[in-house]
This record gives sequence, C-alpha cells and structure tokens, in this order.
Amino acid sequence: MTTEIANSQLPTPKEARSWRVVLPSVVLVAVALAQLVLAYRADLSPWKGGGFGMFSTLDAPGFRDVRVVVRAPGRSETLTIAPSQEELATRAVTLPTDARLWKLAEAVEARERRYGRPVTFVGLDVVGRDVDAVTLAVTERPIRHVDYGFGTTR
Amino acid sequence: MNPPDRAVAAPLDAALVLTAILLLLRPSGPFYIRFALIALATIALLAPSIRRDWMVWLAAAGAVAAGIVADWPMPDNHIYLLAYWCLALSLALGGAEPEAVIARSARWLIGLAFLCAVVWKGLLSPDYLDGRFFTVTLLIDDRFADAVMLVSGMREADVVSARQGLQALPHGAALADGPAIVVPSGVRAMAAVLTWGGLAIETATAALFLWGGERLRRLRLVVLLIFCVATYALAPVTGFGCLLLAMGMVACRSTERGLQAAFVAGFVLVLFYTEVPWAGLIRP
Repeated sequence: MTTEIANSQLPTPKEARSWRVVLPSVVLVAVALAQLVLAYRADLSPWKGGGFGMFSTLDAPGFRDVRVVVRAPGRSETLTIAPSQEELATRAVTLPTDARLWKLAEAVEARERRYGRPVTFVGLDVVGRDVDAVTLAVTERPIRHVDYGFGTTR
Repeated sequence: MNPPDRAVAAPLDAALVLTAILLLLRPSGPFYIRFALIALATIALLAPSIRRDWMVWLAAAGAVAAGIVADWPMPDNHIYLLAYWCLALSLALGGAEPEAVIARSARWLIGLAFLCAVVWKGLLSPDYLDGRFFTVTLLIDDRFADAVMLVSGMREADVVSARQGLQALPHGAALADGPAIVVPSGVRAMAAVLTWGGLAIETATAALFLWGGERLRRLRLVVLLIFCVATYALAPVTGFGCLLLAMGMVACRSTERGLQAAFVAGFVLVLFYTEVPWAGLIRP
C-alpha cells in the first residue's frame, strides 16, 4: 500500500493538465490581476485584495490617513476619527470608493447630529505618505478628496 | 489496519491535519464564518474519515471565500491563498489520484503566489528596491522593534524618536527645523539584507516551484522551509507561514519521514514565533 501510494504521488501527464490541478491556480491569477487593476485604477492599497503585494511597499492601509472636515453655518472644523468610525475609516483608506467614503461621511454626520452639532458638509481627504529616498522626510500625498452635502433639516 | 474510509498517503493526511489546525487557530471573517470554520476544523481533526472527504474542504473553501467577500478588501493575502488551498484539497480528494493532483496543485499555487510577490517587490513597488520600505518599516513597526533593538543596539527612546521623525506632514509642508532622522548603520544593513535577501529567496522559490523539474523537488522544499523559518521569525504573519508549510508537506514522499518531520517542526516554530516574543527574551 505504501509503495502504491508513493508511486501514485508521481503525477502523470494527464493529471498534470487536469482541471482539478488547474482551477485553483486560475482563480489565483484572476484575483491577482483584478487586484492589480484596482490598485492602479481605484487606489486599492497593494497590501490588500489578494495580489500578494504585502511587504512590498510602504503604501499599506496603516500608512494612509483620512482627514475629516465638517462645515455648517458658523462652523468649520477638522475632526478626529471617533473609535466607532475606525473600521469605516480603515476600509475607506484601503479602497477609497464612493460607497465607502459616503458611509464614513454618513457616520460622521450622524454622530455630530447626535451630539447636537449641525453639519451641512462633510469633506474627506484620503492621503498617503511618501518617504524621501535620501532624507526619509515624510510628506503627504493626496489620494482622493470628496465633499458630501447633508440637508439642513433632518 | 486501514480504516474502511479512503486511505491517503501520510504527507497528504498530515497536510490535512495541519490545515485543520490552522483553521482552528486562525479562523478569519465575521463571527458566523469563524464559527463554521472552527466547527469544520474540529470535526476534521477528530475524524480521519471526515477530513478525507472532499465535501468538508469544499465547505471550508466556501466559508473562507464568504469571509473574504464579507470583509473585502480587508482580508490579508494568505486568506485568499487559504481559500484556493481548501478548494485544491477538495478537488484532489474528489478525484482518482489525490496525492498526485494535490502535489501538482500545491506547486502551482506556491509558485504563483511567490511570483506575484516578486512582481510587486521587484517591478511595481516604487519604494522597495531602494531600501526605503524596510528602513522605514523597521523603525515604525512594533513587530520588528525587539529585533531592531537587538541587532542595532538602539534603545527604546531612539526608536521612539525615529518614529516621531517619520510622522507625516500635510501635503507640501516641510518643517523649518525638523528632527533629523538618524538611521543607525545596523538598521540600514538590516534593511538591505531584508530587501535583497527577501527578493532573492522569493524569486528562487517562485522559479523552483514553477519551472524546476522533478529533480529539483527536494531543493524547492528545502528553500521553502528556509524561507518560512527565516521570514516569519521577523514578520510574524503566522497564517501565511503555517499555510505554506502545510502546502509544502504534500510534496513530500511517504518514505521521506525526515522531510515530513521538518515541515511539522517548521509549522510549530512559526507558531512559536508569534506566541513567544523571542527577540525580547534574548535582548540584553
């Protein structure tokens, strides 16, 4: 039995081309190519999305930030991300799509309204960080800016 | 005496056990997905006949994939590889020659994953080859702090100071008298070794798995072992290391007990790296 199994471990040409062998790899390649497209067209962080770009670049979600500015009559201020919004913010910086940024803006507006602070606009700036090759000085790199308006009566 | 269920070669059965352990220790996704994975893994570990059933691994692949969709785009890359691996196990166990199919499937998956990593590091990344990635990462990433202090002799205060110097400024701004970022020579050397050593071993691994013939089978398994044992000592991404070792196990022959033992030992060592702060223990 041991010899039979050992010999059966040597793939035959037919098995080498079997769809059972090929299918998982086809899925891997398809997802990796999709990740590549999203990284270049939609600012997906190379660390995510199944493209195996982790540990290849500083452009990880943790090296991106989102700045929040709220505006209302007589009010314009920068807010820090509340703990309840951390997950939304992380998702937004990882892949700053309209849907994710809108969800974050909604959460910011809802929280401000709960605390009795009116908001008519929420501005979001998703930024990355560039590190100078010689001095290691860090500067911000704009990735995406959006402004969302909210009705004055809700 | 073999059980009445399907018998599989020892390396494949060991790979099934290691994969089940990984699912048990590192389930991913929303809570209901993690519950399903823990349940599947526990049953697979307890019942050999069940862990050799292709439907169990198809269910596992489906659960892992569902977790990826639910959490997308947040899951780490090894979760995707875990989904592909569970699918590969299911397809192999459902066929006539599971050992042969899974060995070839593992080769392709490992080779392609490393190829993607090499493409990102060597071709697409703007800050990898010049050492910026590892220089900055070594200074700001807590996971490397103990190792950095051990190798470079930096004190904790030096590390904190370097991190403050690496804080981002608003776009276009520059401090008039910003803190000088002093990178010790030990850190630069460590960054250079990690940059080029990492790229070299990943390139070698990709090449051996994708293009190396059967004659190079043992060499590619040894290279994979070295990669896992060395890399995950510093980058404790346990899931990835353990998964690669479980996948590599299926390429061992039934008679190669030493090689199989090496993969099991590597699996335990990678788990040890994460559970025990080894660098902090030996740092003076």
